Amino acid sequence: MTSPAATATGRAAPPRERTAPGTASSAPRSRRRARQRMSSAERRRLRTGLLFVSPWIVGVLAFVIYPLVYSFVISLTRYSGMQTPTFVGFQNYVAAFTDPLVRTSTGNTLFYAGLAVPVGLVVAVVLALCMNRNVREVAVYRAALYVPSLVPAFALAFIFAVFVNPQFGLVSRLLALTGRQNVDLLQDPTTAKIVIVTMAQLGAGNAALIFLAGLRNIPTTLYEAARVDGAGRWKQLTSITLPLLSPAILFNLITGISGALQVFTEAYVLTNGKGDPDNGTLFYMLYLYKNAFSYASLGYACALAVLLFVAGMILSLLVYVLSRRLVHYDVAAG
Amino acid sequence: MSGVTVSRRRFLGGAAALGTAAGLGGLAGCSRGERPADELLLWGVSGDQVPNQQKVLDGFTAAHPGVKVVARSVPSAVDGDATPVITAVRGGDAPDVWYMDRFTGAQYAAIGLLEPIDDLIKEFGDEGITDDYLRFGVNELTYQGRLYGLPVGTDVRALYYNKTLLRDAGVDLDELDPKNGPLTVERVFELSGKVTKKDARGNYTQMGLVPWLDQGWGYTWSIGTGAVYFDDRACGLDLTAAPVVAAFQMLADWGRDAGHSQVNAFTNSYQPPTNAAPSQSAFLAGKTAFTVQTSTTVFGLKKYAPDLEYGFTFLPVQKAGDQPYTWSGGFSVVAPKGSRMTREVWELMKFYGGKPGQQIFSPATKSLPTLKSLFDERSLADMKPFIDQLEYSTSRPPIPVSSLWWDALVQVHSAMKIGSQTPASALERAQARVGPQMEAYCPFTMPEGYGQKGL
Repeated sequence: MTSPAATATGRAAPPRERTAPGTASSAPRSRRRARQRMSSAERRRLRTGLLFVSPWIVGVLAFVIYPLVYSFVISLTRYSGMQTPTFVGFQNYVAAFTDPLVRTSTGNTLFYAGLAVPVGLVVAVVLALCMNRNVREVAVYRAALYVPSLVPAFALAFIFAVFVNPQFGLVSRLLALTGRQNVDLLQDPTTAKIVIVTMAQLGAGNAALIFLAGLRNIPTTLYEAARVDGAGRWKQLTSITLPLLSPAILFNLITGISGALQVFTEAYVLTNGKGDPDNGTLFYMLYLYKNAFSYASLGYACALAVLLFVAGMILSLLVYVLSRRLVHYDVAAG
Repeated sequence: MSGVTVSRRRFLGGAAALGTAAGLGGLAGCSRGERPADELLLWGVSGDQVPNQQKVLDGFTAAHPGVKVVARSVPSAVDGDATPVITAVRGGDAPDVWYMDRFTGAQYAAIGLLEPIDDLIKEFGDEGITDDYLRFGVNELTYQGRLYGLPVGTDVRALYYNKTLLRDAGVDLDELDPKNGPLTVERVFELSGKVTKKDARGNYTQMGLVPWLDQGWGYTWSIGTGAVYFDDRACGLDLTAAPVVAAFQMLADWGRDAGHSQVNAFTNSYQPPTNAAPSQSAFLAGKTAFTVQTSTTVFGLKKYAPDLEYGFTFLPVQKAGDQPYTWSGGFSVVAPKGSRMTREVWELMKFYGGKPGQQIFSPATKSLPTLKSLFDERSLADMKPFIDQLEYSTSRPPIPVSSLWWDALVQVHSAMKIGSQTPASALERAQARVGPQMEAYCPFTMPEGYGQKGL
């Protein structure tokens, strides 16, 4: 099949702007010239524009940049949260790289992210496809499929604790049909993490809404043309729907990774902040939180936070770079 | 309609001014207004004890008519999570008095979260106020020679038993009478074997003593094996000492024989391992014949299982003839940093933590008094068997890394419950976590009399 965008709009997508090799150094010069050429009306418009976005700028400076910088500064100190911080250089970072619980919690978090993110994407796409059905009662389906996302993670954790009860829970009842002994899924480090991954899927409605918006943006003419060409449902899904949903998939992938690296609430509620069993659900954020507020080691906790921020940025960049060839912006651009 | 022309610049300027004013107004609204001197803010108990606390506060306001107490229910930092109080102190909105789990008293004192109360005692002429208190209760609130609060109540650990289950299994209940002294651990396991039942699939349906359930865990058993944990001379914690290893080894051995997975599946069916409601327990459900619990448990038994026929005795000892043992925790009233530390604040602390407050609070909540002069109070007659155990008790070590130390022990315990590590290796890992953190606070000495049992 040709490019879906070309088929849909009858015109080729505009070529992407690329910077020719060797022109990077000329960019600042051209920007300087552009600034010099700016008329007074343009400068006025720039000021007006900046003024309009100033609440956002102030918000980012106050609530993102300042805490980031402050966290980094605190990470270089020994600080209980109450007394004057003592400068210790990069000692907290060295300690983080030798702390066995940092290794354990990182492993747990990567296990969770490796499962929860791809499973979450699949679940959200399936939900979005269900929400996109062309039937009269679709509004009811949409509401029903989205409602679980409105339940707080705190409440979900309690529901799941009952769901996996070793004797009375639904899972155990099913296991009992096979004649197997009761098992407490929350008392095994691996199955406890899988329970938390499963629990996270009940919040897939938010990602599904983004996918739904993406699906509604795909012209129906594409599917009509595909049907004329003899494409079946699977072919339509893999050659039209998924490629044109790729910007939404990329967005949900990056936010999913970011969210997975910060998984906290479910483990905190299910294990009362302990990370049981035997640190099996001690996720990175939970360990960071305990250092900050239970052990009064705010400097060390800030060092862990800075490392998480760097890891998150690297992972997101990696995903972004790797996905450039796979993401189609054609419909959105067209 | 003729309109007034407003230039875009003027509009934006006005909007910006309005936004700034609204923002500043909002921030001003967030800041705390000065409370009147006669209005005290108390961060008190939460849950089903709130009405009992209110009785104490009613008593206080009746005795101090000019003073108003605003009580807020803030969950105490039982596991050392002091997020709410740290936030309040840093935000300049600290309560005047805080009802705090005193186990973390030394830690919070060490990080500067609490105000010492020695000056209040001196200023208002109350020297000698601590003489009537249990020594270990005062010690838990002492750090580097200064006192940080008053102990409100305490407890002891005991072995509870279900009379019906044991009688049905043919056990002579006289053997469990406290008058006969403590049973050995071995004997309790023998009796447990008589009541243990399984179904056709091999699932436990009834058990005797599950030694890692409730308050029965490595730390409790380690007091029975003689563990001390802190060495004053070396200023160090030792989690790998032989008595500690022996206590956790007992759990490991029992778990291997009984089957970790089967036991956990059984107990957690009736009692979620975390966040269990007070009414959720395998013992309350009549599924276990024994459990190790605090003296305060009689409150829950009366409320949630009024028909359960139970008794209690000393914790089981290692060998026949050993002295009884137990350990105690409890709460306290302290003044966080930022408390106004006025006469009214001190009066509230004295009332709540003193005789008048404990006379109201202890009988209602079934907590044991920390004042020796209240041990023979008629209203506490039903708690007398527990009060008598206080002479064998002591507290956990009041150290500046208490949360970390406790957490490390809890993790070792967790590993024993699922059989994922040997006691020796798990305790070595715990020691590696806690030891260096403790060193950072040295030189440090325990309060005088720490670790000595007796009143």
